Amino acid sequence: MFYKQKPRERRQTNELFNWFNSQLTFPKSQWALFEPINNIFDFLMAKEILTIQLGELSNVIGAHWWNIQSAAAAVSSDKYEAVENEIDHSVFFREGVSDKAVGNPRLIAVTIKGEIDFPNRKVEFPLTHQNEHDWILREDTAPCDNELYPNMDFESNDFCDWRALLNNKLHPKSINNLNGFQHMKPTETFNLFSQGISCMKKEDDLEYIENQIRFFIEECDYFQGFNILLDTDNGYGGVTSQLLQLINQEYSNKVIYTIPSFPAHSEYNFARRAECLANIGLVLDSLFEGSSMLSPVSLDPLWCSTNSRKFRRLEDLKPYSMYHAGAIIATALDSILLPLQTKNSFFHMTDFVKKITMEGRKAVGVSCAIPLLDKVSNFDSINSAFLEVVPLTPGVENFRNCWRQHLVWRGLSNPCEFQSVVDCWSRRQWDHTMTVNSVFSTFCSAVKPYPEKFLGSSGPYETGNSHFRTFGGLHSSETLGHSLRELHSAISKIEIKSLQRFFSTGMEEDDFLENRDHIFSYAELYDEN
Amino acid sequence: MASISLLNPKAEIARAAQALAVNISAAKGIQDVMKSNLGPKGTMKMLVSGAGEIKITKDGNVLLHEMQIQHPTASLIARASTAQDEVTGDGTTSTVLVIGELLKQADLYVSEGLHPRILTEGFELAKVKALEVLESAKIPVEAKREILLQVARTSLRTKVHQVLADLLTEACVDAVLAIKEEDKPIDLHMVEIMEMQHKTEMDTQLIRGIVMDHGSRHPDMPKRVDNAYILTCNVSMEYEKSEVNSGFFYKTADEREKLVKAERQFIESRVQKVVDLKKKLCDGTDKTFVLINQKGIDPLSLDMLAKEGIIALRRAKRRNMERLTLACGGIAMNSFDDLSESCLGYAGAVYEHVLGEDKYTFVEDCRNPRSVTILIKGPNKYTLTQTKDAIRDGLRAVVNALEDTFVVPGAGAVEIATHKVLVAYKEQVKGRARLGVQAYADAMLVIPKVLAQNAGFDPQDSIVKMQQEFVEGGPLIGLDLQSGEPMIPGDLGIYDNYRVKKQILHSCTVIASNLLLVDEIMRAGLSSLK
Repeated sequence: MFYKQKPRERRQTNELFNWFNSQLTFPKSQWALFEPINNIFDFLMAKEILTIQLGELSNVIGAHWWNIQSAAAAVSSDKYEAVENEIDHSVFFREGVSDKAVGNPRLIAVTIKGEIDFPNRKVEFPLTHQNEHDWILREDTAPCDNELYPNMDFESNDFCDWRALLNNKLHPKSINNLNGFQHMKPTETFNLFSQGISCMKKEDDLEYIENQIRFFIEECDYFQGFNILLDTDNGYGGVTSQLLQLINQEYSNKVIYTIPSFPAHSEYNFARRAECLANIGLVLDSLFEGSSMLSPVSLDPLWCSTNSRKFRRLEDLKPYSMYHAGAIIATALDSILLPLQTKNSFFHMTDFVKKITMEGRKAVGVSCAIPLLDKVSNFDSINSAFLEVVPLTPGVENFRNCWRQHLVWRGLSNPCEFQSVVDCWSRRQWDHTMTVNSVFSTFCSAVKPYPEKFLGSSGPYETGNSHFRTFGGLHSSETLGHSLRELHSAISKIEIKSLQRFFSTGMEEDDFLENRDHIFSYAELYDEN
Repeated sequence: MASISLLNPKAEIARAAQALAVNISAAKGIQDVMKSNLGPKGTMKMLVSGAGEIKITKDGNVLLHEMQIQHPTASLIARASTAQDEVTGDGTTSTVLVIGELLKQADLYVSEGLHPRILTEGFELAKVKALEVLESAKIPVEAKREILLQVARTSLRTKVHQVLADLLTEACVDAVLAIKEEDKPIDLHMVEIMEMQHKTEMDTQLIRGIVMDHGSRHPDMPKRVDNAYILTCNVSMEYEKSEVNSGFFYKTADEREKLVKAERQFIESRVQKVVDLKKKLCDGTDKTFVLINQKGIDPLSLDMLAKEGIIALRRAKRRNMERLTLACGGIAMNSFDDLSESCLGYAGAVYEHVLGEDKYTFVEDCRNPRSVTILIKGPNKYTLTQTKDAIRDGLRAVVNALEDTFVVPGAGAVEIATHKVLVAYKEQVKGRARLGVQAYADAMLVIPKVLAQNAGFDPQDSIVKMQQEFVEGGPLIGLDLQSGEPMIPGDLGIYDNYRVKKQILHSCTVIASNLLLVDEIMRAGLSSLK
């Protein structure tokens, strides 16, 4: 029998299963019991996901993430161990012609033309022959291995070029430059949502990106969806909203997971803050509309404050540096997305998303622990390890009253045993929450240029790369409602007058007010009733 | 103390003569940069981006788009010129030159104490007269291939090498004539431009059909079929995960098998419909079948199709769907419910071409293609973009000529005539405004001057020769850039677009007048909120 749940019945079933689970005395993964096997085809197919990165921070996050990914792929192709079987790299990577082991990322990166042609913006281009190198290497050329920047110091540099960070070779079609913006106003900054929209409307950029997306999807046999990383505090939000409309039109029943991010700032210009907030509001609105799930991430604990998250075990963290922030967010993302990559899991992207986003609560929170305590085996140690979990969602201190959550523990030597322990623990911890625990033996692998300071006791990468345990969680929680309310009130405090630049670049005042109401209504979705 | 500094002490200002000097020097500067690129004998510019990417071009529009221009006045002129390109597809370099020259000529008079306002009045009068000259110079075209070729050639020769230009000319004109329909505006989107990094730019050709940048994804599918039915559709042929939580519940292995099959059935029935149609129409004949789908086709479906010898392409470009039905005929199907022969298109040959990692599928020999493809070839990236930019301008030139139904003689002929007429007209103008007319007349000469200069001839000498040759009422005289002698442009087939010239006269006059009338520049706009 083909079993489909109607939304109303679903809730009852949930309650039923919660009750059912609480009656259980033996630890067992809840959803595994609920749905024995989702679909036989899920086992047979590689399930390709296309990653799209828009904006500076997103590209830095992406670069770190691809590095971690390819390091893991390199490990699994080296050793023929149990580790090897856990991860299926064909989800995010396409098979390269020359390099079968790793392949190149199935990625579309969008930047403004000329914005980051150089690692340091201050450097002028000298017309000498030493600098003639092709940044984006084609597959048939030798790997660059950062030899372009033997002494590139990412730590001290405020700004870093994501392409300098990236170890992977990209397909030439992965890079997309937005030409439209520069043509309009060569001297202006790309700071406004409305600029992004008008930039996409004017030039052929959208069609160009559409064709690149099509190129990558055409070669996929069982394409399942998109991961979209985007910068929210500038014009890329507008670009994304246009792109989402297009994707929804063209690939209507594919899953879209968006990860909006914005950098933490140590000092804030009042006017710029207003713009940022307005941008974020507008982006979130279009993401609620256009994507299947979204998780805002930032090292900023609030919406555009001047604070930053503290990580107890990462004392050297410089949250305002894009390089560090990118590494943290990338590590968290890597853990969260791991269940999608496992060879023997039941997580089709549709399930992954639909199980956490219920009843229109599309925004989900992200938390992580980097690194996870070394010894986690019993309840006490899990408890103390869990204390170090830091939320990465702005406006959230901790996740209370979760409806659903998905926790990923990785780097544990005995996954089966730990699975039962942690399942039991999570049931005791949150009795009203549907918790899925995914436990993996695969470590998070870091290679140069991951910030060396983060590795702590696990040592620098003398041995090529180093591994550490991490934790990542996705939470659908009441606190997100509070967070959205906070955003709403922050936006409401903005004087319309200070947003003149939005209106001069093609936005209507009414749209802005409407958007504000939308944010509020999204927040209401999270009210317990 | 300027009054603006009372309002905003931080304001930067430049007043009166100083302000004008700023504008004029900017206009001269940008004119100097673009000067050497005008005309078929113009030189190239090499642009190096921050990342070391190279672009070699002499197309004014491309140059202005790619260069970072910081001076506000210069960037204003640049934007006006690129707007010119958006409207007409040509004439960017000329716009820059004329604006620069107008300001340069005006500068002479302003420095002698003439008020800019009077000059601009003169400009306005001169413009009206110049338009009259243009009006009288225009030659009707009757969509004849010959004259369209000449227009396209004139435009293309200013962008690329002569031999290549002649090749592209044919392609552009034939492409436009193919997609042209009576009494309907021409949609240039129906000319697909496809790039292929292969061979040399001289292998660029017009394909009367469609070229797609992807191939079939199944090894058993034929690589080439002739005499083919084309089915274009937008129907998903892949297994889709259902939206809501769903699961299989089964007790035995048998039951599981059945469930799996049932799930699959849905897609399979769709594929089967295509297979049935193919069997009905093609079996026993020499016809073949090609399926082009905008949505995905998964490997199992591909397998079914491959067994029948059907070529199946998945994820076709959205725009190609429209083009395909125009090129091959048939209807783009959104469901397979009522498939019949009338929905299908026809192509004489469908074949795959593999270039390294990239595959291309050619759909050729269509019966009456109303959408065609220009396949650009080139050994490297920059030749490809260069050719592509040129083709775009060439297409525009042909379309302009068809829409205007008029062309004007090129090679500086119109400018020489305008100059002569304006100088005569000056006498009738009363007051100091005639100085403006004089300045305008002199500025017109910049085009033939620069043309001569770029071709290696003495500008004054050439101008004088042309002026001597030209008598009012007689044929317009242009400059033969091969010999440096005056000639009648029509004899050599050098024609420009009417609307390009008209637009140049309009926009240059307006911008030059605006810049002249500026008496104060202040950087005191609302501070950008950085």
